[in-house]
Amino acid sequence: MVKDKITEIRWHGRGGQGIKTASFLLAEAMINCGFFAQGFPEYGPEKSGATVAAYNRLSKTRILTHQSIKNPDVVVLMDPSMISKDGDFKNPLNSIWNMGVTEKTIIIANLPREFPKNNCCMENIYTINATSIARKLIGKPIPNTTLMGMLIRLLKLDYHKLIQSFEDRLAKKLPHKIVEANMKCIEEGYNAV
Amino acid sequence: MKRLALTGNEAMAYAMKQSKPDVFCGYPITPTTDILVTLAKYIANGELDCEFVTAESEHSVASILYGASSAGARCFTCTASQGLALMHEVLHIISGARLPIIIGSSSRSLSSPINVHGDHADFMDMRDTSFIQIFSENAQDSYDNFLQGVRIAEEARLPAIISSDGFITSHNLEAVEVLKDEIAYKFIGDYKTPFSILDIKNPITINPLSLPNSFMEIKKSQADAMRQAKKVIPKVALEYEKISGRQYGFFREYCLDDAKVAIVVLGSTAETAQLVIDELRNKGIKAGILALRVFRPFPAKEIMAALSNCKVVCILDRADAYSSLGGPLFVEVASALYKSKSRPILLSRIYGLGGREIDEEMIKNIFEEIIKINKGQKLNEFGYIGLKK
Repeated sequence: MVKDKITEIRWHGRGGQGIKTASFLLAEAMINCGFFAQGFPEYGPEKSGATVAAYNRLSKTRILTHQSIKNPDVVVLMDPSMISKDGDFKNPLNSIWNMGVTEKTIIIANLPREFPKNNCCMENIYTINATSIARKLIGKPIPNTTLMGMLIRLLKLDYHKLIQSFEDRLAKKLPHKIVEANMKCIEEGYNAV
Repeated sequence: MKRLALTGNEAMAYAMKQSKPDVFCGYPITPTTDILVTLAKYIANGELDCEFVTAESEHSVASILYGASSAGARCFTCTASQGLALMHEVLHIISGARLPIIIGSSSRSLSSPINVHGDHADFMDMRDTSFIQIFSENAQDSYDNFLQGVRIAEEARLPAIISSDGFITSHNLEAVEVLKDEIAYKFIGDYKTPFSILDIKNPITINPLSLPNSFMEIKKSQADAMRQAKKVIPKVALEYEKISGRQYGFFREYCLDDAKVAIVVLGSTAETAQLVIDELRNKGIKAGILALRVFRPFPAKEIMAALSNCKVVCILDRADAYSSLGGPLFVEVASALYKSKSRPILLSRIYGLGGREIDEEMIKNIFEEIIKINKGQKLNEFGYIGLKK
């Protein structure tokens, strides 16, 4: 379900976790479903392991703005090491991803444990052990597609229409077996909510 | 018409493929490399039959294309920033020989210090090379402008560069409506070269030494060609509108008809600013935008007419000319308005250098400044947006 207002998503992770792929997969799938979308990565030093971000805007109408996403509706955190132990989004240790985040922001986190509860608890935190699911299904610790499954469930997007597009795009780059494994990751993420 | 999800770079490569170049020669550089990569894939997949030449530098790229174009080939390349700067010497040779080579680009800052992000320094750096220069606001524009650019360049017999904002447009995946291959190619047509250096039945010499007794006339004819290009651009736009339904001019006006305060801007920032204009209009403030598309030939008369009713106009430059006279676009707009009977007050603001963020809030602040000046307050004529204190 795409709201009348533009839905803004920020992906945070580390180089090599498939963050750009995730934002492009989602943008393309939404466009193929007749919506308007933007998908763009943030570029810095191109090093595997460096913190990176990517962005999505989803809308029913044409998107004009080209500014960065300042007040995201959703933040997806790909790497467990990006989240402070106390889980407080206001903690300066979370400054990589907490810009514009409020108690209302949907947080989707790749964590091997429950999100730490604290005094200023956010209302919409969803965690999943995406790394271990990806290891099990793909054989590599790439959490992007599992988190994508969760994201499309939480945004109430049309699962069946989107996955066709995901599959087509992944099939251009990856061998059939890996594509299938990624599709299973999406399904697991989707069913985890 | 098909609706695809393409980045600005991919959209440009798609237009290149549909224009069926004979020769593509390139050397990779951020942020335009994806144009080269996408085109190489089209050739490898058999979707495009084209000679793909890799060179050891951009200077060589331009030189190889100069040769290929002299032989009568339709020639494309892509580059930006240092790559475009390295081509600079050959750009003049190409335009002087009136070879319609077309560069697809996504603009990027110039070193030093080194920075890979988008601004318009490279685009402005080549403004006296006699290339037709067209700028795009989004991926759709990148596609549409490239197709039109091929037609314009070949008809005006001048080279052209079609650019968009590095990263902001070049790396943003968005919806792009593309024409069917046959329709696009019917619009482009086969390249008809007036001469070929390989035509042994009609041997010619290209670019011989031209001494004081002939040089000026040749250069005057080159300037005439740029004046002529001004007539070609609207004609091609009209034809393109018929097949695409999308309208293009020298610039795009947004709420400019009755505007008292306005900005002039190139590229993606115009779209971001559009949202600010909507807000200002809701408050009853008569604000507008002139989003420039064609920088060379410079549409001075048209700009003068479009801005003549404004009281204050701020020209936003994503590059500096280091002339102490304001940004390069500012200087051009100011000279265009010299003959205007009702000259608006002009401001120059430099923004977004090296990819520095330009957001709606900053554009709102600019309009606040413009409105203050309109009320008689004195403010600096020259300034920056988003500069850290």
